[in-house]
Amino acid sequence: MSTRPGRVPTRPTAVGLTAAAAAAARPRPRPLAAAQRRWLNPLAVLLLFALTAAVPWLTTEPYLVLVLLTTAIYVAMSVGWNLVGGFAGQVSFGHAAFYGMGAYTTALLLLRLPGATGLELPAPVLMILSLPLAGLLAAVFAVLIGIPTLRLRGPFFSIATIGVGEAVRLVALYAEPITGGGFGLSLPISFSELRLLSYYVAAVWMALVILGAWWIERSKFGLGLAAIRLDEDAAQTLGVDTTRYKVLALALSAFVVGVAGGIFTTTQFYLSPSSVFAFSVSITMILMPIVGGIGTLWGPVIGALVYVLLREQVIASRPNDHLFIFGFLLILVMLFEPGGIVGLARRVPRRLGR
Amino acid sequence: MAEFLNTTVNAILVAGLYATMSYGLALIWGVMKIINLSHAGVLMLGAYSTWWLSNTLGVDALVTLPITAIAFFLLGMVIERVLVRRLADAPPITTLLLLFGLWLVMQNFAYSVFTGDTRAVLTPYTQSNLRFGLLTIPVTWLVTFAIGLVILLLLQQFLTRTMAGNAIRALAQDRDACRLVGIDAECLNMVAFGLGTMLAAVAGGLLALLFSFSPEFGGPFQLKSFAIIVLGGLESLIGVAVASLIVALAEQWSVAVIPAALQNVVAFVILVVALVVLPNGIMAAVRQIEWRPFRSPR
Repeated sequence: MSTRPGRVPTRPTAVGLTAAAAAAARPRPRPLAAAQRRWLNPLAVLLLFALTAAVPWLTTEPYLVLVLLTTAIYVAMSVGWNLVGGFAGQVSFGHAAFYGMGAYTTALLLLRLPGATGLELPAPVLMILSLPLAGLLAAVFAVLIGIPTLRLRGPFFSIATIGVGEAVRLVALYAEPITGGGFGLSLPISFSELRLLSYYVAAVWMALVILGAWWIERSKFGLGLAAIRLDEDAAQTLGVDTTRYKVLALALSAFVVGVAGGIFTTTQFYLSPSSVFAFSVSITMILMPIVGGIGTLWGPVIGALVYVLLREQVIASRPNDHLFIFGFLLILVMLFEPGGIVGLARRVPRRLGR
Repeated sequence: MAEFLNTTVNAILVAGLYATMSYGLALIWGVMKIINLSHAGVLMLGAYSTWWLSNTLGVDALVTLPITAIAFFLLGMVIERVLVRRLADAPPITTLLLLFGLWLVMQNFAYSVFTGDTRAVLTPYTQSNLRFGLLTIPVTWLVTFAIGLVILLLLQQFLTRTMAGNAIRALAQDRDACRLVGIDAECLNMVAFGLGTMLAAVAGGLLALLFSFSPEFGGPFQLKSFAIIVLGGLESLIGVAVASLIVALAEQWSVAVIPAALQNVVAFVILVVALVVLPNGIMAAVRQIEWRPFRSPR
């Protein structure tokens, strides 16, 4: 009996099997052809960007603009963390180090560069120039840290990153001439005049990061990372240079988060190691993608939106219970749906019999 | 010279405590292949438990340790039964994140019950010292060292002399073989998790006698525990003891070279060096040095 490709060979005696095979072979109704569906994701990113960019034209409410600005930064951080934590499956508890480095690079460049070199650049130009440097510094540090720690597998890498975050925080607190130590640095008010620019920069960065993640997910590099996530030994056997892939993913992730930290700085009046290098920053970056859907493209975006909503609505009224909320969220997601909101959404149609 | 001698002796004394707290982590890893990230939370709650019990009952902190031990043994069993067991077949990172969530909940619990104020357990002998010539040894350090050592010896007896202990060690070696000979692996998981939690809580209670604490207390000690079990090889008691000594000595001696504020960085550096240079722990490295005085006959 010849079977056409894609069709399960069936035996007439097994009635149940035949029915199941017939259901599997029946073409599902598809609203869009594959070639068209390819462009859905970038279109969605463009739409998201257009919506975000339009808000300052529609409203002058400074609070709303500030909330959306932070949301865009959080989305970038969440998607950035997901590059290594989700795509490669290497959960990092130390991303605050990259965030803080980015924040301090931008702050110090804006504060000290004009004085040190006599270069008189307008603040907006200086800000935009400082951001790639912020990301680059974080990425270089990520490579230095990643080469020893990423030889470790899964949970061991995670624990080592707790150490990275803690060590960097302690060193930053101690390095008072650079970071301001426990007192922190005050940033000039003039930075806040950049807020509208910061807003657009954050929106652009958010869109670029999601597009980048989309591109990586479909690339050979992304497939290699997925292989590492699913079975590192098998990936290695198949010729994936696992350590190099993981280090590269960590560096990209650190670059994204470092730039996000730099953008954040331009909206602040004050910067201290205990705020940007805090363990809670790392916790936030873990929580957002996990709640949204770890390892997916849109999960981290949804997670960041949920996180901001949660922070603005619940935590603002009960500030002492945020660790309860984060902890229980993590426990619930892990126990009932490790795929997060995206996993839940995928499960619903399956339950309905599709 | 006297200073060097004192820091060395202090390091040896605190190493006993480090071994107690790390062994809890090593035991859970050995039996269940889980990294218990709620370890930090349990260390901290153990410290609060000692403080609260000795204040409410009006007795010496050391007298309350058995109560803390039993309570946390039960708590550990409940955590295993209710949370960890449900994820037995899930990827290891899921359990790690679950226990991380539990740590956050424990921290928040401590904040809301005991507030964020820094506390300390004070005893009549907190300030007293023993002097031996050049040496000055604080009594609390000596007492906690002795208790830590006694607990480890008891545990070692339990693991080698009893049926349940042997079964736990067998589980750490080969899970499937244990199932085949009829060992109730799930029940023993519960016992091992309970024991690990108990060790962490008691170590937390002892640490509370030496250091002041707040709800953030456990974090650095968890990192040290982890550095110790990685350095010591994840399953060996002697390895854990040697590694505790190495970490404690490195920390105490480092103060001469680096500022005290950076002392907690030492554990992290040891962790990374150990992971890169000695991935199987110090005992495996020692075992690899083969001493062959004669050629083996063919």
